[in-house]
Amino acid sequence: MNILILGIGNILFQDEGIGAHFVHYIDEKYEFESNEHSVSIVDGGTLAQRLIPLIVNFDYVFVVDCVDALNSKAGDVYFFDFENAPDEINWQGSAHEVEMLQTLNMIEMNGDLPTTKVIGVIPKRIADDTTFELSDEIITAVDTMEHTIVKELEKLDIKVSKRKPDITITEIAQISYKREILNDSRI
Amino acid sequence: MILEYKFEYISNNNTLINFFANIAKKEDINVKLTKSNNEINFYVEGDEDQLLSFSDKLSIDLPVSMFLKNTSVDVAQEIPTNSTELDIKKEYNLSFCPTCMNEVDNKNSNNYYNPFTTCEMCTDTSNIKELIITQNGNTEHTKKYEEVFEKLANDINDGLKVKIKTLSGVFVFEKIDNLKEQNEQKDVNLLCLNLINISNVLVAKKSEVVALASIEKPELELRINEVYKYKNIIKTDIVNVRYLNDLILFLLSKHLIAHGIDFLSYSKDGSFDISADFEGFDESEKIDIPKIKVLDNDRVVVLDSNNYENKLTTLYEKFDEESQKQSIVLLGENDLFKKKILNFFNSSKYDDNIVLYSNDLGGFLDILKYTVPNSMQELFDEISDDETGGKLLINFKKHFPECYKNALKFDTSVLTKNSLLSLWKIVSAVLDFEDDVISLASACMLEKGPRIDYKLLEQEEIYNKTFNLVKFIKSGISFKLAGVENSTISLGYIESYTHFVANIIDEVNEEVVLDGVSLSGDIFSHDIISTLLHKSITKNYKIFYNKDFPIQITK
Repeated sequence: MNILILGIGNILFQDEGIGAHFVHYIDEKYEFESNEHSVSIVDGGTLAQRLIPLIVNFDYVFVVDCVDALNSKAGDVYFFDFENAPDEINWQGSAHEVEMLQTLNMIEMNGDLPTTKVIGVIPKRIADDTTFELSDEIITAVDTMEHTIVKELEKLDIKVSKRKPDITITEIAQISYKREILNDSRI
Repeated sequence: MILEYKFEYISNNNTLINFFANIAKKEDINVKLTKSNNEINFYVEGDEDQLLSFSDKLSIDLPVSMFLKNTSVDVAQEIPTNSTELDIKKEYNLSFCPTCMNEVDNKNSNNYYNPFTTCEMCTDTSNIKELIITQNGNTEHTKKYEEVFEKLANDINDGLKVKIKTLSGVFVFEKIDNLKEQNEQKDVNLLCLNLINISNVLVAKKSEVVALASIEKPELELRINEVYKYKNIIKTDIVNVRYLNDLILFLLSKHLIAHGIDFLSYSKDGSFDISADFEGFDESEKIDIPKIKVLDNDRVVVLDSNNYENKLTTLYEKFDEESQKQSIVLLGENDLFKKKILNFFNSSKYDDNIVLYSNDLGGFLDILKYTVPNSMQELFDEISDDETGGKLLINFKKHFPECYKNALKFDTSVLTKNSLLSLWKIVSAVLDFEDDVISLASACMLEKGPRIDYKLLEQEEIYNKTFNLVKFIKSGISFKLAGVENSTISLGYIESYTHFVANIIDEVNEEVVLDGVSLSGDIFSHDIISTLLHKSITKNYKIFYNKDFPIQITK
C-alpha cells in the first residue's frame, strides 16, 4: 500500500502553515520501515487542486491541515475520516488560500479518492506580521498530532523509529520553506 | 558481415555523414545510412579484415562533434531497405580535422608544418601560398613556417603582441600575463592552447572541454578558478574561451606550449608589434566561431552561430514576433509541424510568449502573457487593493522604509513589456536585491527555495491567460518580512517559476494532449533555470530545443 502524509497550509500566515511545518517535522524526526508499504511525505503548501494528480496515486492519505470547529479553542486537534467528518468541523474556516476540502471533494466525485484521514488543528489567529513563529497553543497541539500519526502508521504495519528525537516544531518552522523532504513522493 | 554504427547526433548538419563518407571512400568500403531526427545509423558491409581496418580508421579520422551524444556499434543481420547511399554535401567551413592535424604534425609528410594544406578528409582546399610577416616596417614573404612559428612564439613569450590573420578573422594575440597591467577588463577572450591544463585557469566540466575540442571549435563562457583569480591577472569572473581552430594557431601553439604558455588572450583589434598575414583567402571560406553553452545535463545550446540550414532563415522571417519566429524555427528543426507542442519563449531582450502550436488550431495560440505595470506606484496601489495586501505593504514600509522608497523610484517604462525577466527586475527593485534574481539564485547554496506565487487570474479558457503580478510580488515581500535572505528568495522565484511552467504544461495537456514542449530564448540557457525545469517537467513530456539554430537571435 502506498501511504501519503500531506501537509497543507500557508507558512506565511503563522499557525495557518502548521500542516506544512508538521510534515517537515515528522519527516525530520522519524524513519519509516515496511516491507509491504511505502510512506511518502509531501508539503502541499497552497497547491490545492494541483495536488490532485499526486493524491490519486496513493492508496491511503493523511491530510494535515487547519480546521475550524464549533465550541473549539486554539490548539484543539481533530482526527477523522474525510468521508465521515464530524458535523462541528468547518474546513472552510481557515483563512489561507487552500481549497483543500474542495480539492478532495473533486477527487471523490471522480471516484478516485483514496482512503483519506484528516488531522485537523485549530489555529490561534492570523497576525499581521509575517513570521514563521507558531503560537504556544499550536506548539502544544503538535504532541497530540504527532502521537496520532505515529499510532495510525503503526496500525498500518509501518515501523516508526526516531531518527532525530530532539528536533522541535519551532526549529522546523524556521526552515521548512527551504527544506527538502527526505521521504518525498515514492511513486 | 554487416556492422551497424549508431550515432545520436543532435544536429541536422551533414558533418558526421561527410566524414563517414570520406573515410568509407578512402577505405573503399560500401556504407549506407538511415537517418531519423536525432539518430543516424550507418551500415557497413565487408569481410572481417575490411571491417576491422574501417573501424580503426574511424577511430582515428572521425572528429569529435559537440552535437554527438552517444555512439554504439552492433552486428546487423541485414541493411534496412529504407537505407540510402552516403551523399557528401559541403555545408560549412570547419576547423582542421584529425587527418590534417596529423599531416602537418608528421615529419615524414610533404605537408609538415604547412598551415595551408589541402585535406581530402575535411574537404578543405587552400589557395594560400605563404605567410607575410611584418615587423618594424619590414615585410617578409615566407614559407619557412617552422621558423616563423618559433619566432612568433618567442616574441609572444617576450610580451609582444602579434596580430595574426586566421581562418576565422584577424586577432591580436598576447600572453595573458599582459592583462595584469589592464585595470579595466571587459570581455576577456582566451584562446586555450592546451586543454590538458585548462583547469589551471578555468573551471570547466568534462563536457565543456569536449565541446571546446570538437570539430566545431565553439566559444564558451567559463569561470576563472579561485586560485588563478588570486593572482589578480584576470579581474573578471567570466571569460570567453575557445580552442585552436585553424592550423596556423595549432602550429604556433606547439612552440608556445614549449614555453609553458597554455593560454593566449586575444582581441579583434588594438595595437600590435608584429603581424602575420596571408593572401588568396576567400571570405566565403571563413570558419564561423559558434558561441555555445553546455547545460548541466550536457545538452549543447547554440547561443550564436551562422551554421544552420538556409531554410531556417526563411521560416524565421515568416513571422513578426520574435517569440513566434523562434518557435517556428524550432518546430522546423525538430520536424514537429504535425505535432502539438507547447512553446515557451523566455528572453532577456524580446517579449516572452507561451504559445500552443497545433495544425488543428491553424498555427499558434497564445496561452499567457505577462504585463509590466506602468509604474511602481500603480503596482503598490494594486497590492493595497485588498485588506491583507494593504497590511502587508504597511508592514513592509515599517520594516524596510528605504527599500520601499527606492522601489518607488524604479522606472518600469524602460522594461520589456511582456517579459518574465522584467517582472524579476521589479522583484529585485522592490526587495532591494544586491544583484539580479538569476545571479542571486545561481549563487544560492540551498537545494530549495520558498514557494512564490506564480498564479493566473481566474479564467475558464486555457488561452490568453493573465498573470497575477500582485500575488507574485506579495509572496516575495512576505518572505522578506519573515527574514528570509535575498538569495534564498531569489531561488524561490526561479524554482517556483519552473513549477509554474510544469503546471501550465499539465493544464494545457488536459485540454489538448501534447506531443512535447519546446524551450527557446536565452533565459533557458541559464543552468539554474534549465536544471530546475528539467526536474519539474515530468518525464511524460519530451522537451525540444533548437538544434543548429541559436536559442535566440542576437541582432
